[in-house]
Amino acid sequence: MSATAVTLEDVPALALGCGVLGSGGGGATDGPALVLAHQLAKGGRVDLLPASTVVPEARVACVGVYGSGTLLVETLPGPAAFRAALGGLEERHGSLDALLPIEVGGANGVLAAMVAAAVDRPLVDADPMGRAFSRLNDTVLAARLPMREIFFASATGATAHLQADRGDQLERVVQSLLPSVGGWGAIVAFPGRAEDVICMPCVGP
Amino acid sequence: MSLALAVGRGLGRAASGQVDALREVPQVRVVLDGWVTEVRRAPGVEVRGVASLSTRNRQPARLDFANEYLALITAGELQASAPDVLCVVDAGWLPIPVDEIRPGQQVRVLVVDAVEDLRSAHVEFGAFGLTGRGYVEVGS
Repeated sequence: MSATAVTLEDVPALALGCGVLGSGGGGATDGPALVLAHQLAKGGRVDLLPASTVVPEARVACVGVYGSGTLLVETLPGPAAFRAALGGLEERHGSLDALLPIEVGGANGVLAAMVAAAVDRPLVDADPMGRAFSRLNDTVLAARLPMREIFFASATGATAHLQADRGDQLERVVQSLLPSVGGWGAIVAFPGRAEDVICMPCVGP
Repeated sequence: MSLALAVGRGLGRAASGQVDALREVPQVRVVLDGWVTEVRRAPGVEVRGVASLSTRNRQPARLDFANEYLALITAGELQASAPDVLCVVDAGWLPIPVDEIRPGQQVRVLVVDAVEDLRSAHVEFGAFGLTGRGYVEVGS
């Protein structure tokens, strides 16, 4: 199976579907949908890769936003913060071949598509979180692959590389940053080979 | 992502009057059609709120929520619960976040089945905040 393009015409359906999968949480999708539409309108593209077509040795990582859904509405998440977080990860781990959304439910599904368009990387059709959660260490993926580092960047230009032995420690540290950076930040986590990061139970329908 | 697109397209068509379009998205089930009659919120505890609903045939129902919707109980029977995804949509089939559900809204409750890993024992999510009951698979 080959990649499927997510087009400008698909944005309302993607926003609505991510809203449903957010289960009443996960942040509003209408603001992120505007940013995604803007990226696509100016020539960006989103190639959605079936998980089964990603070669095992491909370098991947999960992108998303972490923090307050309410504050996400006040400061729309443009691509700059995600570029900064990705830049930090790639400086340390090398260039990525593809991205995954850290969660599909809520704002993050739409934002992952926006980032893929902005940085011109394909997006794997997978949901490492399984459903909307409030905590990063509560994901389907975290049950299989320990979360030991996060690359963080704020809309205000601050960046951080966070490391901890346990996912719950890392979760508390990243949470502690939020009050000083406007309530939300772009994160990139779970860098690794596709065969380790893309767990089959989290690949969707 | 493809599931989100399929769900969004199905709901979009339902909103334009083609309610049968949702049948083409087998992952989504409409489990309640009715109204919100009361919402009580209790900040600071795990399950932070309860919405009372009334179905179209006047059966009472209750929806527990925290940051997300957690459990739907209709006429005393558990009908759906986390980790399955529960979503409340309004009369126009648009999702209602937990902080915007309020009395008087006409609503439908949708359920999307969770991935198997969220039901399995090695994922230690406990009871998803549903203290004292634990996760019980619907129908078991």
